[in-house]
Amino acid sequence: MDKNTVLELVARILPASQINTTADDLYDAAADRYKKYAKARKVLDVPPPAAIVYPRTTEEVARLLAMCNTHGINVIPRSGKTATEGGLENWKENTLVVDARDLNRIIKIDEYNMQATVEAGVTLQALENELNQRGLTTGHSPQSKPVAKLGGLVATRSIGQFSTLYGGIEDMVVGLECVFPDGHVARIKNVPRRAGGPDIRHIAIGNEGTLCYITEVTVKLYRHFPANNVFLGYLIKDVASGIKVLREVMVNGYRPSVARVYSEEDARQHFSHFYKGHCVLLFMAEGNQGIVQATRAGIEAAVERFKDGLVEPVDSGLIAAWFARLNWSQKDIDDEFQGMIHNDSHAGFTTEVSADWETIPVLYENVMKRVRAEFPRAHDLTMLGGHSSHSYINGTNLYFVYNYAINCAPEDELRVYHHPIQRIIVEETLKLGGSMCHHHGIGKYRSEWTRDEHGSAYYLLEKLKQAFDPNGIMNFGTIFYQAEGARFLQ
Amino acid sequence: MKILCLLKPVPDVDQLRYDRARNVLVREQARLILNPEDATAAATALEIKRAVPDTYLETVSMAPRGARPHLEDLARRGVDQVTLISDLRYAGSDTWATSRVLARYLETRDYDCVFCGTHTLDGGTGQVPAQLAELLGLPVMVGITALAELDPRAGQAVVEVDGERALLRFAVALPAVLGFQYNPDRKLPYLRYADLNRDVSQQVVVLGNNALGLAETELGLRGSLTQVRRIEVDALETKTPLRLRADQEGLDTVCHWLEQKGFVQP
Repeated sequence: MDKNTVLELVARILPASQINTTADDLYDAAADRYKKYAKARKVLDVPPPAAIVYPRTTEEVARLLAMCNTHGINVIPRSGKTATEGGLENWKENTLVVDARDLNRIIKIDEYNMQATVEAGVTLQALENELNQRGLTTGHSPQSKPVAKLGGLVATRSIGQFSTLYGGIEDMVVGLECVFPDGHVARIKNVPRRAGGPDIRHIAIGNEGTLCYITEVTVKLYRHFPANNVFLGYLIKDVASGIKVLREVMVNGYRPSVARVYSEEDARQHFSHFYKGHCVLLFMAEGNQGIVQATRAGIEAAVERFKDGLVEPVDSGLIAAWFARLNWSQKDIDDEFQGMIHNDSHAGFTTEVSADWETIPVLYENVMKRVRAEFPRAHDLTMLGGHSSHSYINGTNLYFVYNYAINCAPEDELRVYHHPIQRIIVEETLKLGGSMCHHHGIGKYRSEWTRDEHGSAYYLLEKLKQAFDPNGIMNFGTIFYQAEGARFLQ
Repeated sequence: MKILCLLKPVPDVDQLRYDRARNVLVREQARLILNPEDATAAATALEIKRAVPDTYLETVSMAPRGARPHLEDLARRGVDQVTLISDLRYAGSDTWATSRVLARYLETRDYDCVFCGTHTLDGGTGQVPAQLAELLGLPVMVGITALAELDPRAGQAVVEVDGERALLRFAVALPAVLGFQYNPDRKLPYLRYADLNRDVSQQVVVLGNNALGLAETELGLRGSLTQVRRIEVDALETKTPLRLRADQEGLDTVCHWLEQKGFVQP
């Protein structure tokens, strides 16, 4: 089948106004932020999709998916376009990018039952703006909040900067609607809890567009008390000292919305005006006054208990000022893109993993040692460090952060620099029993380790794919390793 | 045509830290980069080599041996020979002692022209090109923004120099030392993935003072005419913002400030 035939089939379902075949937009849709540098330099090695389509109803989504299922056309569900792991990258000639741009209604804000229902293409910022006016919040606040959309956030199991208090998106979604490749529309109702068998929300949450297309989401709401926010910051001797304090806070039952430890190298790029060559530990407590004061006292007690690792406290105003500038907007994304056109550099890469408290400090040191010893372009590294930014009762995450002077052709950048480092991080994490991806999703570029990530439980994932997408039309190459795409993984 | 290009690996100044207690620059963790003006010179030489393939290009660096990975990449980018002059006895050399080492090596080589940067990031005195030319008995031109012509058979190069108020064009007799200004648009060619692990050991020559034979009194601190006694680092100050109204007085204040700082001519 050629692309013209694909377009003819699409035209039977959608009017021309909902079909985009503009060359620049198709080039842009060929890859996500994973290949940002190659994209900016116009050297992408992946094909553009046949079209980007903008359904306006669930029914249109169902008809599109059923048509693609019948004709073997690859579908890339898209909502927000802030993916960082290749989940939106296209590896097939005949591909439709189904964009939720026009599924953009806030359907209901139910203040009494504390839940809001929105279509997949509503930006989190738009929902938050509506909610904040009413003194409410979803509690979800990824850095991409101004740009990210609810469908994409749910499909990738995203997490926000306040997750230590509110949880990840999987803790927030109470119900949703999704469409399967055969056109079946499933509505998972909104209830406080259920015990009607396995929790089927989790078939859709985090499926990364490989099983179904999420069209509607209902999330929990919380009272919002931004005026009560309290910021605390400390300079500390090392990452391990900070991890000890984080654990102490968590196991004592406190839930600061922000709880982070930055390595010295990572602190340098965020807090150069006060880090003084040390690691940084910081917190934000939020909620009603009573909770905030109790959380503050709990944090201060934890810091006191491990004061051997403390260098000095940081002015809380500096932490508050940093936090106010943390989110990135579409302008920030565009500015980075423009910069990459002219400079042999970008804003760096991250690989985010998780493990239990005992493992995290060991994992951090192992990765640092291996990268410095084994990475053949270590002399090009301009930054190698990391931070923990999402904590739980049994452990925390690690965000490895690295950047480098790009001394190679733009089309070679990922395999020369990012891939070898990412491989070390993933190998070390899996070896120590952690999870290779904490919140970015597997995308395409960690799919070669999906089996290792799940071990014997991969059986469940494989059966889900076979059951819901037997023709393999949903987001080819994402989550599930495909030998045909191996050349892109090198 | 044979071009020698001087290339200095320097610490990435963005990563240098200053230890105020000990009054020293902490260089240990700073990554090495090629001095940007030298890289412009090398990129210019490689452009010539691409246009005139029988051009022979050799880079010459005086640096610690740790700089070797950076320099090996030059061979993978198209340089014919990469020469690293490295000897612990050269530690502490000032620009004069450095020029003497470089000159001693260059005396052993045939060349039509010597390319280099005008200044280095870590020193900035711009003395090496002139001192080297003096030692070799060659003409020198620095601050070059463009090479209009390089014709060894005619014995002449034509270069453009930014004279601030005018672009100046000079003819320079060859052989000569030509010092380039940094030009972000003139970049070294990209390394390709297939070349990254290419063995270039045959193209890399490492030599020390045993080969050059300079006297101990000509080396390092002893051979230097100048010594760094103390480094002063300006403390960062918080400036008080000046808020102006969008009226004539405000405009006058801004214009006066720009003139004072030299951004505009009165």
